[in-house]
Amino acid sequence: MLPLFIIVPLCGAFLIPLLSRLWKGLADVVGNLVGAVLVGFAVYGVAALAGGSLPAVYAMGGWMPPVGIVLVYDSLTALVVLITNLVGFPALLFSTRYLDQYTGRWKYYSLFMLLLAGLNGVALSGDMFNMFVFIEIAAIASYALVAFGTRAEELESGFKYMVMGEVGSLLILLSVAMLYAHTSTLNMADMARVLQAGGLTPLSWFVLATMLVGFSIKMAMMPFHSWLPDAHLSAPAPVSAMLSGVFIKVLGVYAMSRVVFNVFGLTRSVAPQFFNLLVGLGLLSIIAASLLAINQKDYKRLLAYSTVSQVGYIVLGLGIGNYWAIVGALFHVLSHAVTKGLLFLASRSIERQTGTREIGNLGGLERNMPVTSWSYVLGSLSMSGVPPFAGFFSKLFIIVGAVEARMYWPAIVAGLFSVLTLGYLLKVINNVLFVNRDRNSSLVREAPAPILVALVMLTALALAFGLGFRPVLDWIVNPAAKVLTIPLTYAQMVLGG
Amino acid sequence: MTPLLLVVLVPIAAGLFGWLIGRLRNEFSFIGAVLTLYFAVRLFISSRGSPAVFELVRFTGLNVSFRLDALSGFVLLFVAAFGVLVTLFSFRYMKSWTGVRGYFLYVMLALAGANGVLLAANLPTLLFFWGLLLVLLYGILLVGRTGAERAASKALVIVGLSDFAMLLGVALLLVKNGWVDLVPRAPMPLNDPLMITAFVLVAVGALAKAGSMPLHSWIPQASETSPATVMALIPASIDKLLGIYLLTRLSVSMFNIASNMALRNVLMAVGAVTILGGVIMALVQKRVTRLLSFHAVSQVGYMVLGIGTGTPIGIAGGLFHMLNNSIYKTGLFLSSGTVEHWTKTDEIDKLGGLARQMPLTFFSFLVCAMAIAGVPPLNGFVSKWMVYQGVVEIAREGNRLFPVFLVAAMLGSVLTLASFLKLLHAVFFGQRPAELSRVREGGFTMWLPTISLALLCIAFGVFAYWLPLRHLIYPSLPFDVDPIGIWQPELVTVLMFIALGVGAVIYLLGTARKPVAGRTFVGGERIADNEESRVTGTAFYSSVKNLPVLGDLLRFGEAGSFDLFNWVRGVLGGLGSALRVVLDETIDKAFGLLGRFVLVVGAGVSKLMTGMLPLYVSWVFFGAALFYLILVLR
Repeated sequence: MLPLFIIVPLCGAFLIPLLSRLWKGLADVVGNLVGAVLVGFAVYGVAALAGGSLPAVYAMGGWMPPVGIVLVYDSLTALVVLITNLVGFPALLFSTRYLDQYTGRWKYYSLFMLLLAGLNGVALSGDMFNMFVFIEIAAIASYALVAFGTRAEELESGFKYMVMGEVGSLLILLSVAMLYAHTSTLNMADMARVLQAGGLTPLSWFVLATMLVGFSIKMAMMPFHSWLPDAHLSAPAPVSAMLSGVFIKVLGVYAMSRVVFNVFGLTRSVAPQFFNLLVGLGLLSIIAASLLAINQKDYKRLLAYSTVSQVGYIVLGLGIGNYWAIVGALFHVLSHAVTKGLLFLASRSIERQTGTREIGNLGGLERNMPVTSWSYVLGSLSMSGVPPFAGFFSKLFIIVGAVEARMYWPAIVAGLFSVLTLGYLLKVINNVLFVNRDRNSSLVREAPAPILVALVMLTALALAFGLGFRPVLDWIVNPAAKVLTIPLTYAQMVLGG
Repeated sequence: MTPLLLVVLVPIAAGLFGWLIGRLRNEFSFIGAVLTLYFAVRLFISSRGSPAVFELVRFTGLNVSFRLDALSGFVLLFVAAFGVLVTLFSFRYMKSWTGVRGYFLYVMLALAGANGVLLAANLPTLLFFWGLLLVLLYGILLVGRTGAERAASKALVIVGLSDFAMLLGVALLLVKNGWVDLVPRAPMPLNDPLMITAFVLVAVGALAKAGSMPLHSWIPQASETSPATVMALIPASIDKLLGIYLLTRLSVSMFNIASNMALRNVLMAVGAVTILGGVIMALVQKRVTRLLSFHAVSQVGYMVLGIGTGTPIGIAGGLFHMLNNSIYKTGLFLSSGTVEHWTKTDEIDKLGGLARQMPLTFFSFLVCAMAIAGVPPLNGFVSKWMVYQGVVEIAREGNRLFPVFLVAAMLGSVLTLASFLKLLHAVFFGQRPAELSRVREGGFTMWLPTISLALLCIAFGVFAYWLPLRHLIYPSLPFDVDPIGIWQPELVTVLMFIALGVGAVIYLLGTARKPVAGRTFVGGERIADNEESRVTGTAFYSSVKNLPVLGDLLRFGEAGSFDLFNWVRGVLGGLGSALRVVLDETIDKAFGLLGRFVLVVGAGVSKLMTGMLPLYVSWVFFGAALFYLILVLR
């Protein structure tokens, strides 16, 4: 069933233009149907993997590795595919009403399907070049989606995003090419074996550095973050949710850790300077982006900066590199995907109903839009790590990992800045949702039902991941962390022996 | 199901039912609170025996479990009792407020959270419920007048900040010791720097919960906008009980505070500063609830001071003071709530002469005020007395600072009395403003809670050794407490009554009954009818403001300079703006020039390249250069 993760959205992408000739509404129906089916697949996949009934390696066309192209479904992939589709479905649901303001409904859904196909493909691909191709599919779909509004500023930020994104992609392609030249294979498992036999040469360091730059652009780490705030500002909200929640994690965090941990087989003891660089990147992003976020007047831009700082936590966790920190980082991938998706959708719901994005122009919306407001509040609490939400556990584990590695300063920074996260999110909550009840908000009404369903779904997930942290750890995060902490199991699993 | 679980689950269920079925909200809340009290009593009785442990979740390295012993048993009992009283009081009182639906839910959930904290067997479990209380604190502070949002977010940031300090401390302990039980087999020694750091970090969380300076500033602010019941339930009782409970656990059963004199001095200094700072600020307040809230801060000082002494009698005194304080402070907030409910104001200037109209409220306010001021033979005196003894005892260990702490504590007590004399005069005596002539006593749901708290104050004072000390305080501590000073409250009470009786006889028989009659006032007006000549209480201590050093400090404090929150906000805001200037403006300009240069060179480049994109890309190359430097050229 592994290829279905890619085939279903791809078929959707090509069916939607045809079917929507018959009746425009079919685009909505098919798009959401695909989204729901993918959620089903992803959940089934996690369960089947835990039960051991799923073949983890699929050879395309029956050509066995290392010659043929393989799809690999291990626990890390399962986690990434799960978040892609868990956020993707509510985003699609949200789109049904969101698109009322645009024409070209089918184009949007086609692009969205391509985005989903690309993201799932990146997660599943067991082949270096294939992974790059899927990265490009997802990236190009996202460039078009960011500029979907086709007004001047949307085109401008879409263009900026494209240039930045392509610089990143080119660097990734360059390093893939160098790796191919060095190892004469593109299969990641096979490559891992060749690299392990040869040890770390100056070339591998060069490749690692190049690749890290490329992935840092995709992850929007400081100082490579500059595309992200603009892109989020002009992208349609469901696309923002996908970009922040899923895209930068799949294309950046997942792809990087797969290559670094499983192909190069790096651990903290082998390559301390690489991991320290990751810690530095993470800390810089956490600190600078949070401080920038405080000063924003536009609540969507504020959320965009907050994404940069939250992804900083993930990179910090990976950089600390021991078991608890990696568990924390992966948990944060999960919790941040859900909560940031939620916050972007909720803030878009506010924008849709009030017509403004300026924090200063709003007030007292809690009376008019209770569901949106409370999902926003709960999402913010989760994001800033207040128990019992999901965000608490991810930050707790990262801090425990940092202390265990005797990195006290990163632990303190991580703790302090999550309070700052609370601070800047409260700024939005207080000014937009609670104070100034009298400010001309009496005419604002609650958003329509599909939007509310999407918000409630994501809120429930954020709460469920927190309250049910133990099953989440048992079934999803722990196995995935094992894939990263015992780097060489990957090659064994794919190639056997 | 075991009562250990029920005591947490019952209030949650009651709160949710009340929230869903708004019509039966009062009934559900009351039944929930009473049931919780029932289970708490059962737990209290069983806690007199050996400690009970109940495991909820076990997971590699994580172990969520409950534990009940003598200390948590008695605090549990009082949390539940305050829950019942405050719920009862709220029925009538909350009618005039908006957001009542959420209020009862939060109250019930806060009860559940507090019970969870008290039953937690280890620090991570405790941390979970602790964080839950943080969310509820935010929610419950939002119920209130305009401006409640600001108080709520201030509380959230201050308490959140200290919760993260606690999180760090817990992480340190987790790594150092594996799993951290609240009651390990033997207390850990406090000698290596790591352990001391962990102690301090967790203590910061506990002190912030209790409302000690300098983490107190949300309490006075919240008092201006929140209902009196919220103040009575959260900062006055639950928060004090939980904060000092954790501090006691931390310094008695987890660590042995007696082993580190420097830490004890720090704790005692925090206590002394809190006592004096809080009470001095209270002297100049113009609103009843705000004044009470500063006393809520000030009283924490005694508890911290007592525990900080590290001597058995001091710790027992601190713990006893925690119990006493939550009783009389809840009583004070609730009676001030009654006054505010009927007069529609809590400004001291607008009140006066209510003693005759509200006799029951007056009685409970009087008793609680005398108890907080430490007038014998009420409970506040006994616990303060024990704390003093603890402070004196540290002199035996060669601590030269003890006179400072002793003087601070006693001075604080005197000033507290002064402040409450002013309040009593201004609210219940003095002249009654004309518009308050129709004010009367509230229904039994309002006076029953306050009267029972006042009676408890008397009982715990007069029978201090028989009731609370022997059955509640001493069993919860792992060591034997032998009081050194001699204080027999029963005897003193009898003597006081004799003295009062003699006074009454003199009053009745003597000249007091025959006042001299005659017109000596030649102005012709009757003062009582004249609004301008009415003496109010707010100016009682305005001479404090004219004292040289103290006055300056006071003005400083009123302007918000002692407020840690303002400091933090200032520093972060400054950093943020500095960064914005650096990142967004200076570099922006520099690269903007570069960008224009690029634009001029490549004249054919799209108009969309506004000079920002080159900036972006140059950042990428800057970063890439850095990466190559670090990784390749090592």
